Amino acid sequence: MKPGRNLIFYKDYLTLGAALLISIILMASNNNRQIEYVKLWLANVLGVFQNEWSYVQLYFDLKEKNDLLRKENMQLFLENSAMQEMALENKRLKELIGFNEKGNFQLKATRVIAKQKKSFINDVILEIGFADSVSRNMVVVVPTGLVGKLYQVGKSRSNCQILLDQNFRVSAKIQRSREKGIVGWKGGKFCLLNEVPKHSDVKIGDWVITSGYGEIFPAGLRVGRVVGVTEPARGLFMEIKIKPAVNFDILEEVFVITGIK
Amino acid sequence: MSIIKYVVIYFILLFVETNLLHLISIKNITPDLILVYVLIFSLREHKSKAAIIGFSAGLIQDVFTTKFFGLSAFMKSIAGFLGVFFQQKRNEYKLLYYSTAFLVLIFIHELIYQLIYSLGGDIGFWNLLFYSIVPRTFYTLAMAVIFYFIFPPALRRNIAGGAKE
Repeated sequence: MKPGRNLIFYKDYLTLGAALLISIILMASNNNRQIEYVKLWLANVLGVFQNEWSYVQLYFDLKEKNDLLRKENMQLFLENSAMQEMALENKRLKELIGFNEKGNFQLKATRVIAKQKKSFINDVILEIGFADSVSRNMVVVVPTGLVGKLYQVGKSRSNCQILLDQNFRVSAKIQRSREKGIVGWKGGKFCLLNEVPKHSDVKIGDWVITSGYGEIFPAGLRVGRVVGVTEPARGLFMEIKIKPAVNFDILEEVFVITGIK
Repeated sequence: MSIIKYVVIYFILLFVETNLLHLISIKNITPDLILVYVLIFSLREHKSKAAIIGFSAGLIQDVFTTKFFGLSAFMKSIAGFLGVFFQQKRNEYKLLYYSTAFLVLIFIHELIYQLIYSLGGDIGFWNLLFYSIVPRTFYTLAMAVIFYFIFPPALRRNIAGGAKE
């Protein structure tokens, strides 16, 4: 209230306001053309405001919905990833089971839990140990071919020396022509089939398999495929490059050969 | 003037308006005698009292005459309240001032009244203005001028020194 204006000043306006309010209520009680028109007009005006307000509400709802959907999306993404992973694992395991059933070996399935690359040895750690009746020098394979051999065996963990290791050697032969040699690795993605005499029958695309001449590796395991054959001017042997049958980058489940059926 | 006189005069005017006014209608245009009554009182009274008189007079008029219940009460309340702003300190009003004040007040009243009354109808604004608002304003003003000459004491203020507070 402004200074100098007493209650009577406002009383006049309050009286007028009350009179007008009562009059409006009385007018609204009519059911005539004018009131219908006003009601219609008010409904239109309110409709516009409601419409605008609904946009405002929609904005806040959208933010909430967006958060919710993002959360759901993330959850579905994770579920989807897990399911894809399970599907792939399922596929791999099926292959392994098929391999296990078809072959002549007694196998124990296990999982690769770590890969390490040391200066003197390349190996992977397997989730299997002497508690599972495995021992040193047992051969490790996958359905596609030779992985390596166990060289350290703990109670529930073992180290497997893989084909791509400088100290790894395995006696092998060309499957088609039976030409023999020793498989080794000197770095890179490929192995070498050494000590195959010049002029031997070796072609690109030939499979290299284990010969079974050593005490460790049984015969017939795929080692790799010949991808390069050269005969150097000097020396007695051919230079044969082999692409390993196993993709060591995606190695996850493997088998340890524990015996022959 | 006592309240009884107010009431008696009001009902006489109401009787004339509801029963005899058609006798003096010109092309269906009739003056609003109750409006004149309210405006005369508004030149004599406080704002709140003028508003209450306007409201009461309009409400009774609604009961007896109207086709739109509450509209007269609404408009007479406004007219009574606005009339107070035309009060003068002098005890008597000059005809010119009186006529001008009534012209303005009656026109405002008629304009708003007729606009509300014509809501939803198909009559255009200019037709409404020239065939209803303006003729009715002048006819009502004529009645107010007649009152001015017939009952000059009615315009003597009821408030010492005017009621413009």
